[in-house]
Amino acid sequence: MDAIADRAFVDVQSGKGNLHRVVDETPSLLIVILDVSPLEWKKLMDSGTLDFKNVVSALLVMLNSHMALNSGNKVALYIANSYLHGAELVYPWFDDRDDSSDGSEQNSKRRRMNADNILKASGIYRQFRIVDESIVDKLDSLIKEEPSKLKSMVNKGNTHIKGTLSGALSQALSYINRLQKSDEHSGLKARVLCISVSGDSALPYVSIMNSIFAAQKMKISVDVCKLGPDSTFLQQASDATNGVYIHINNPDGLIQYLSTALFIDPLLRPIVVLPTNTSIDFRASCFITNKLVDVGYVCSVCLCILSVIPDDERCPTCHSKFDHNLITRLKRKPKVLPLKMGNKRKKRVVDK
Amino acid sequence: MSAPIQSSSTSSDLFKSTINEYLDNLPEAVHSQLYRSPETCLAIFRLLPSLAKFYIMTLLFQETAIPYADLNRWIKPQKATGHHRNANKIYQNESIKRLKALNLLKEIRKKVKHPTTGKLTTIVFVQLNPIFRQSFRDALTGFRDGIPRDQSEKIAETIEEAEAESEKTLETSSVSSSSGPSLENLFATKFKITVGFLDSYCLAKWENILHFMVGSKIKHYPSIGVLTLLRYSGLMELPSDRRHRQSVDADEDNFVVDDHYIDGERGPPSGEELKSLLITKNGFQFLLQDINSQIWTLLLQYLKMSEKLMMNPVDVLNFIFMLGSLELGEGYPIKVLSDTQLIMLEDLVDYGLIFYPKSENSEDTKGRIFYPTRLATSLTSESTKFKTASTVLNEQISNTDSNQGKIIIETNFKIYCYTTSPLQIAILNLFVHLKIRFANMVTGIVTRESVRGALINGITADQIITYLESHAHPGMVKKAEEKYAKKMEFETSIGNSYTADQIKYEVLPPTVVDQIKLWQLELDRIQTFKGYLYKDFANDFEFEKLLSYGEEIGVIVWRDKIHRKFFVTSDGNAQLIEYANRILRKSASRSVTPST
Repeated sequence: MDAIADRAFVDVQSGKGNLHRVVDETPSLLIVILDVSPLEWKKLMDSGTLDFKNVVSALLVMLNSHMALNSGNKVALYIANSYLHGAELVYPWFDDRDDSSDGSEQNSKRRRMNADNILKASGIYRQFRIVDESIVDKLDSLIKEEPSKLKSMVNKGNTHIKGTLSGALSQALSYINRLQKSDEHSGLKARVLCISVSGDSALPYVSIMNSIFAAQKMKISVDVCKLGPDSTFLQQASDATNGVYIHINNPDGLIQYLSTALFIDPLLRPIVVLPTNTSIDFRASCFITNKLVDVGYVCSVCLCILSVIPDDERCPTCHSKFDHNLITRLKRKPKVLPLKMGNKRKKRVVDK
Repeated sequence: MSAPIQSSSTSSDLFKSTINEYLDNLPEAVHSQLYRSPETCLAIFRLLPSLAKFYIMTLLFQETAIPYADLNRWIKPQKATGHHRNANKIYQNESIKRLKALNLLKEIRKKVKHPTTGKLTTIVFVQLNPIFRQSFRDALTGFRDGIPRDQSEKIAETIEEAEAESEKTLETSSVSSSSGPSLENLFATKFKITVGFLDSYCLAKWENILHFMVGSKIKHYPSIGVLTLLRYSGLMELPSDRRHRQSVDADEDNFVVDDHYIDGERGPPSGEELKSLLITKNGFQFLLQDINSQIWTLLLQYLKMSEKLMMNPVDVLNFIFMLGSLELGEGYPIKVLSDTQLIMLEDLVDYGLIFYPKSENSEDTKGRIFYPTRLATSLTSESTKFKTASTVLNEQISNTDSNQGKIIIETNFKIYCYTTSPLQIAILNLFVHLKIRFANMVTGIVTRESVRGALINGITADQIITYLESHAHPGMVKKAEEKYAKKMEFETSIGNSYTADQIKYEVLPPTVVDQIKLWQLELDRIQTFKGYLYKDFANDFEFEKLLSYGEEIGVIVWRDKIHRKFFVTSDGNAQLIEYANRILRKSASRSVTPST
């Protein structure tokens, strides 16, 4: 029945044209997740290779360029690994107090007056300025408050970060999902860019893998701009989602990376060769020790990965009981057979 | 199989190609003048194909020139098999062609020594136009030494503050006196113009022009400037024009006729005379376009007219592009505008692109503020499918005066349109055989005769289809979305990605769409192409080589493998000849004779 109603008249030429017209005209959303882990940044800045200011200004230029591509384009910025906020949306931030719009406008003006040092708001396109200023303001206040928070946390003997990259990633995916479900932006294409400085140790394995699979399912590419130590999980994230992973050794040219390799629109991806690395470290991490595993055990029920078998012989995730016999067999050390070896050696000795 | 040179295009495409064409044809000197303005750079950037945008971004922060081959390296190679030409390659060629036409990409030839063999070879390097690069960098980074814009920004800010202040005082005063402030008072005290007000203002202006075009009774006629432009652009004509045209040549294009009317022979018609303008074929086509393309059509005509009036095209273009980057609901001082732009301002007020409150103390011209309306700020937003400013506008129209009407079309070609607007009915009447008119609805049927009538009037099938699509009833849209989602889900679930790609989102019944297109095909059984015929090849090798290259870059219109002939479009010929010379030089020199 449906087949009869299908279109018989297919114009190949316009079909091709349409494809490219769609590529040309579909607006897209860029979500950047900026890792602001203070300890890691301190390390990097002390080594003299990287400056937070430079990275932020490069990032702002990139956001501006993304908005320049198409008037319907949108940007959003999340921060992760902050002791103060955890993972949080920096832009666009939603003001709950809608009624006091005048007040907030005054506030924003005052903030504009207390202009920051990084960005001189001079001759800049208005839309860009709004985005840039609100981001810089937010980061500025963050940097001011972060040290005291960090100190108090350390004094309490608690260096645990509440909002990690995976938290920010899942928030970003939820944000995309919400936008795509809304009437206004249905069909909006989206991609995520992580600017990460922390190593894998800061990443909870399970939640990051879950977010990767969610992104894969939503067909959202996760691009990774890696400063500092290499990350296995983020490599896997970009590989699984058709993203770009770039480990940047020379951060001076960061803007060139951001405007070239990490600037490929989701709709251009079928056409353009992705400048990503092809050799990816696929190792997983142990659920107990949080270390990378080369060879390990896998729970047959929940596929939980273990490098050691817990003493109670139960899976730490799903609590299913492992077979005791099996475990003893697995734990059995390889035996040396002394008898044969002995014979051979003796024989040889005899031969000589 | 064949590639029509004038490929069928929707209304938004029509606009895009025309503004692009206009920009392409400007001389290089004008281009470089244009690129001094960051707003213009931004607007032109947005008009480019995605890949061209990407190329610009890769080159933007590159200080040195990069080899041309590097641009190719970004593109995924695709096997060109049979009739499936390499779409990516074609797209890339188009993108680069656009960049070159706009003088954005400069080629530099350099002799380079081959690292191993030591031979000197010429490598083509590419670089961005330095002026464009500088302005566009400025636009993105916000750093600029230039003074004028800085000042204007400051002015804008101070004015904003002044506004906010006066608003406060206004609030307090209105509370104390508790009298409803009259409109003039509000303007005098710089009342904050709301977005809603601007929307209704520009719509009223624009609708008025459209109503005038269909000939419905209106209270206020559009201004003489608008009427002259309508006549100049060939959308409307005086009864005397029509008689003249019919006597000269029935088939001649309206644009040409109007041209020499403007140029003289007779004095310009008076305002009274202009009120008797009648709509032309082009006018009907114009009505079928969406509001954004309509504005662009008029603006392009305005550009052409302004050239005749010796206005500086750079100023005019800069102003138009600047409007696109302004913020809706914000006021801007007229101080920043040049003299040419001040003249334009008045004209644009007539089209409803700008709201320009008349202040009481007219001698205070410096502090006057103009407000761009949504028509102006959505000029450079190009997306058609998504909810952009223009669709918001269309919705606004349908919400406020329900003029846009909602159309339902059935597979049996019956049309129901919920509308009371004479404008809508007049437009529908162009291609629908209307039957019954109810209080809030008209019904009709799409017949071969009605569509042929429209086609003969110069309206294309695609225009009809896009019009129906864009005015479809929400119920139809919803149904189409559901159907699309269902099909998509099914195809992806069985992993048939090829078919999944082929699925189209169809709002209108496919039978109707096909039939309208077939009716059009009935009329044009012959398509003409300008180009070159290649024949008498010396051997199969040359033929195959040239043909495959031609197919790859998408310039082959027709081929006959048995007789070793093919036909190339006129713009692709040069490229093919260049290629032919290259392979001929490589192999033994055999002759290929291009003939027309």
